[in-house]
Amino acid sequence: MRYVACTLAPRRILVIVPCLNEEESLPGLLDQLEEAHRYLRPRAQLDVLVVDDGSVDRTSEIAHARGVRVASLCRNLGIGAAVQTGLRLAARDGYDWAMQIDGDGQHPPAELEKLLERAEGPDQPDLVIGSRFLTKQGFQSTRMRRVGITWLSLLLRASAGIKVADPTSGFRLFGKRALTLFDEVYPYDYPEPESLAIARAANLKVVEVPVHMQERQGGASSIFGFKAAYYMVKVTLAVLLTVGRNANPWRKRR
Amino acid sequence: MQESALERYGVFSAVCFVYAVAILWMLFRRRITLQSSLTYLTLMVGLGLGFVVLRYVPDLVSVFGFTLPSNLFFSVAIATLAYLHLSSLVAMSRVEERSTALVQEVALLQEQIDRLRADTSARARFGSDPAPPLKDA
Repeated sequence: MRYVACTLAPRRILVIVPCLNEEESLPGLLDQLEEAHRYLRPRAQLDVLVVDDGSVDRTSEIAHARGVRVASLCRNLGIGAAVQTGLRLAARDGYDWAMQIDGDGQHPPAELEKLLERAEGPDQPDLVIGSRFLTKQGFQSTRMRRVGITWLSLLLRASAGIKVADPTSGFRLFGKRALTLFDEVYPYDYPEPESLAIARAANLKVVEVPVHMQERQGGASSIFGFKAAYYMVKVTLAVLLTVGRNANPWRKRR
Repeated sequence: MQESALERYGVFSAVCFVYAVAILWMLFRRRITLQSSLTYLTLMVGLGLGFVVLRYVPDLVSVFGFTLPSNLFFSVAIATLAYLHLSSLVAMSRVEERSTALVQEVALLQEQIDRLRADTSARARFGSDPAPPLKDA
């Protein structure tokens, strides 16, 4: 693992872990995050927030027992609203960055450093996406999903002018401007591609870095069968609406 | 002929008034709020009265471009239902957004309370002052 010389005060980073029934994979993920915190400590202060999206298993108990911050949603709101809960907390508590990392163990915390390094680049991006397709290493998802991802990538490129290889990646680093934006407006379900269109409409700088992802360590994906078709239709419409609306995304929703 | 036909169509007025009475009954039982149901109530009473007016001014049917009164009634009913459905969709979407925001806020406040409690109990164990309020609270 490479270390980067620390010349500034450590950045405060909130690691947001949205979870829905992730009791199997959460302990391992928290262990890895603890390890990541150890080697990132000179340059970054990591706080972990587990957002329990209405789990019916021991997800919340496990998180509490590990001493991390826990926001328990009293009913299932969907991945987008769960992530936005964390983004809101990060914006209000004045964190420099917020990192989204899935609770199913697909995103190895050891890869976190790559996103941090890119975020500290001279162009100071507002949103850094960890992409599994730039170098095609690690878990590449199923063929059908890759077809869907390619479609969404083309759609975002054609409609919003965003060149992103992995628009569905939930491995993301949000800068302060992104936090302010997404505190106000963030899609509630299947949020990743639509949030890119929103970011584009707000003139945020979105970049990708290659990361190594792995298969989920527990639980099951919520997108399969009929839901996969629904996902594609819903996300396509949502992206087109966001682009076509061209409304001011900074407008308050509440 | 037309008058007797319109007399038979009085059932449309009756249905509207029954619906309006049902709304009033639900309001009385506090199952719905006046704010959300006022539009429905006004529309149903308005339609019921409109059908009564048609009985006495049958020429209005042809003024609206319909040959048979029933076609006018069904067209008005479909348009009304479509409007009510759309207004319900708007109301539901607003409620969903507010409900989501509320659940998020509750979770964030609970997280703050948990931290304050942990902080307070830690201070109490060491005999120091209670925790000061959070900056972001």
